[in-house]
Amino acid sequence: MLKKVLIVDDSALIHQMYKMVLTRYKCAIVIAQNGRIGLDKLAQHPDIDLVLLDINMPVMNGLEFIEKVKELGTYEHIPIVISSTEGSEEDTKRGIALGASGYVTKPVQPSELHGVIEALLPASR
Amino acid sequence: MDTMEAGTISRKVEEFLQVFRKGEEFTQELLKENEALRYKMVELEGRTRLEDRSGNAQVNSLEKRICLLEEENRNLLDRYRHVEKENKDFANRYVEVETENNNLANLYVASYQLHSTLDFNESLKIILEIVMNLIGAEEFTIMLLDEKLNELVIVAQEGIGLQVQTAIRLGHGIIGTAAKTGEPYYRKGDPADVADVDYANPLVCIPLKIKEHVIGTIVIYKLLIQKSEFAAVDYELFSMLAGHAATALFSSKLYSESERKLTTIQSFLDLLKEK
Repeated sequence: MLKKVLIVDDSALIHQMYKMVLTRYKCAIVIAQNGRIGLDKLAQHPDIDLVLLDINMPVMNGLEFIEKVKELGTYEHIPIVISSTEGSEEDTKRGIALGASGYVTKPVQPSELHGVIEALLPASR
Repeated sequence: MDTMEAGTISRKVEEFLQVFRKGEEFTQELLKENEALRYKMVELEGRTRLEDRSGNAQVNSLEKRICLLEEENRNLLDRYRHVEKENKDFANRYVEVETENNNLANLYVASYQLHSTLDFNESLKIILEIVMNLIGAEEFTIMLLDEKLNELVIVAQEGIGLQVQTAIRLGHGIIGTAAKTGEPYYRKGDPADVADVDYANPLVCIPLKIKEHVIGTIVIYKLLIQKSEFAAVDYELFSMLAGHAATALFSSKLYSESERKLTTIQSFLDLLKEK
């Protein structure tokens, strides 16, 4: 079955890059420019299998998005992978503590992303 | 008496003859048995000789078979080693192709995004994103050349405070020289040496060129903490940015100016029509 991945990132460049990587895994892609839109997209697509989430975004950042997801409780089963340009371990630690399943550090290398996808979406290839 | 004696003698002779006949029979039997044993011995000797001969032949044949199997085993081992080596070569090649593929993907994404807009500010934002998200720079600027003043002026920046010069004369210092000569500058030494951020001596300075005409520079001062060194693809990205970022900025600037001029002309024509 086709896997569905939600990309929550304010960068069109990152959308494009993730798209290129995910094409190989024949994943359907849903895009959100910030956490608020990300929550809306989750409601519209309850069959999402994985969330690739940026930390630094306008309107609602990645950490707030995870908090909200946990608060709602409906999407807790969906693995969330966080990414950040900050290089700060604090954000990553906080994201993991909040319930993120993994993280990638920017600049995101496609090979790193492959590893994450293969670990969290094992049946996708 | 004589008759009695003669009878006794005759009986004894008869007994003797009987014993003698029995002895003869026994001797005959012994001779027969001896003959039979001799025959068996000869037969056994012949069989043993035959068996030895066929045993040797079997051993020879088995030895030959062992030699053949050993040869086959050696061939199989050689083939296995060859296939294993081939397999390793393929695995290495796969990794190389995969890396190349990833690099091309990055370059494609960057190039696609650069030419996806004719809005000047959006073009600047895309260049910032490429330098930040694909190269992994933390502190950097985009400078454009003001040809009237002959100065490079910062038009966009990331992570930079007030400590950096906002305008640099063409030909002045590392950045001005790189812009004047059109040659990219890469500082020698470890690019991840974060304790050594020198705003007069950046890590990288990439002149943005349309053919040989420099329109500005991208100047990187510091990399993200997790970025320890420049990879081959980073140099490809620098090279791509030098040309594509320049054309993207130049064309979007021209487009914005032409749009503005078009609006002015249109307003002027509307005014004329009203009169």
